[in-house]
Amino acid sequence: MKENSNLKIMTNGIVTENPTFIQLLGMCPTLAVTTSLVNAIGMGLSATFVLIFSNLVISLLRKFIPNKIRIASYIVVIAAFVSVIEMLLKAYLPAISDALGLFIPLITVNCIILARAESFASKNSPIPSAFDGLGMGLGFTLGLSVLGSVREILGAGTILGFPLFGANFEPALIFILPPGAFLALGIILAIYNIIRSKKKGAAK
Amino acid sequence: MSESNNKVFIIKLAAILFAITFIATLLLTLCNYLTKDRIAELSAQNAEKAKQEVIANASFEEVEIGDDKRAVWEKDFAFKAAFKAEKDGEFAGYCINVAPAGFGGAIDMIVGIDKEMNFTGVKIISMAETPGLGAKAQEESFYGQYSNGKKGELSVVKNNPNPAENEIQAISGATITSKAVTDGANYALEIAKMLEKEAE
Amino acid sequence: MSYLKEFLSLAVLGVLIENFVLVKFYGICPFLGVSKKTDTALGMGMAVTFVMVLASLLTWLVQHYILVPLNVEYLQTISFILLIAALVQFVEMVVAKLVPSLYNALGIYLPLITTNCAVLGVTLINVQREYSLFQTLSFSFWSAMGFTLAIFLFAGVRERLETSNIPKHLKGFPIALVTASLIAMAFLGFQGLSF
Repeated sequence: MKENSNLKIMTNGIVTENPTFIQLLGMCPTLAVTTSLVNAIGMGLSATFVLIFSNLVISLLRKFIPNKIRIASYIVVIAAFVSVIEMLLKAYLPAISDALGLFIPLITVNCIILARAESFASKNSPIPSAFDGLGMGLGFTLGLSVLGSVREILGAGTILGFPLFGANFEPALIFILPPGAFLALGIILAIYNIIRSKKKGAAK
Repeated sequence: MSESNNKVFIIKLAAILFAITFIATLLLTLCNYLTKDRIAELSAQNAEKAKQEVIANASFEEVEIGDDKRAVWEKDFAFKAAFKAEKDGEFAGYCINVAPAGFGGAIDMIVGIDKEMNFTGVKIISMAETPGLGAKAQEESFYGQYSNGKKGELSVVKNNPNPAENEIQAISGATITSKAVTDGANYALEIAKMLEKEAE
Repeated sequence: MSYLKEFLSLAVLGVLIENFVLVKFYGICPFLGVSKKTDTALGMGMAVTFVMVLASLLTWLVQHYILVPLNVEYLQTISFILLIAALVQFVEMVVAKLVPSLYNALGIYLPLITTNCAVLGVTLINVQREYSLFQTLSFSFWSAMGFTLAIFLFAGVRERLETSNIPKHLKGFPIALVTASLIAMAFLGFQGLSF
């Protein structure tokens, strides 16, 4: 029964409250690093790491942190884990670290993480909080991956660096340029809306 | 709430926040201690490999540069370091490390120049250009252009199937990156020429 | 004279070539969130400008007089964000006292300036590019102006969108993002200015 509820918390982050498609949180990295699928996954997993640990620690400390300084405390905890992942990436995955650049330290100000700390970890016990972090992180990774795949396929004609089409394929460069990020996300959200309203219609 | 109570409360808040920050700092210090050697080693390795790729089988020695000159070069030529290459005890050329600004920040690169002041090659150590666009500068089809006996000041051309001796074919859609790398190569040539003059 | 030249070239860089929102994607949350009306957009732009310039000044001092001498640059992210959080709290109190109407209009987005990546972003870029104090102040001012320009233009378009006939599924965020894409395309043209 217990495991069941943790699983539910996790799928909640991936599907029902998906941070990218439903909550529209953490838009800066979503738009900026999705020029390729590898970058999208790298960013998603880094954020997941931070989410799990910050949720865990904040939940452990929730009775100890006075209400008045809670935001400042959360930010310190989050920034600490972000710095940890920044150093680890530099040491072990330098290619990802180069590609994501400034957006790694900027995970600190990713609204998803602070939002989860405030709305979930500060009210729940550590284990469910960690699962919430995992679910939200994976949901974020999923959102980034969808956008990253669409942009990489249309804009560069490759997926994970492998060419998909013949040499004659002329990629639509605009999709890996900044305007393409807005355009691709806008269209994906519209398609998502259509699917959702169709489902609703079927349910009726 | 009385005033003294209020003060105690504020001090308590400050103490808790301080404690959290202190523990976070300790954690980071530990993490930095564990990773810093590896990070330094990694970047040294990359630089060494890049130097070997532009001038093969050579040994390198960093050229000492005065503080005044370094400041000027850093500003004008995005200069980072210069190395003298020797093959079998003989002077073989220079490897110049420059970091011109590209689309996504500085492009850290090594430029090889032989003793006749011809380019021997360009190798990018690290950069943050857009994947699928500027990042193509790391593919041989682009950086290979710099090792085909190119000489003189280089310029970037677009859609020219037969670029001349001093022309570099731009990456399609990434003119800024192409220009930045070419600028870096030109800067390195300037520096090598100045070093050569001093050596004489 | 050379200061003036530097100031102006950083203006072109910050506002047009590297527009924080439309080219670099810093500060997307308020860009999409507070851009329904032009006057709140302008107010948000002003508040962000104030925080960005002040944060740049303070973090520059911290970087050059504390972190570098003590050799603890790895504490950069954590110390910068703490400073910004404190600064935003201060601005919030000032705005609430002096301009209550703006305070009400900005609502939740005022404390959220802390988590606006434009602010932390500009302070980190200043350090990364090894800007002098003068360059730091000019660059942060002009990037904030770029942010204000983008959010203002976008709010103008969105005000018109309110009354136009949009396909049902595109309503709300999707059409806003498509509009942003068109504005971003226009800004792509400024890339040519950088050489």
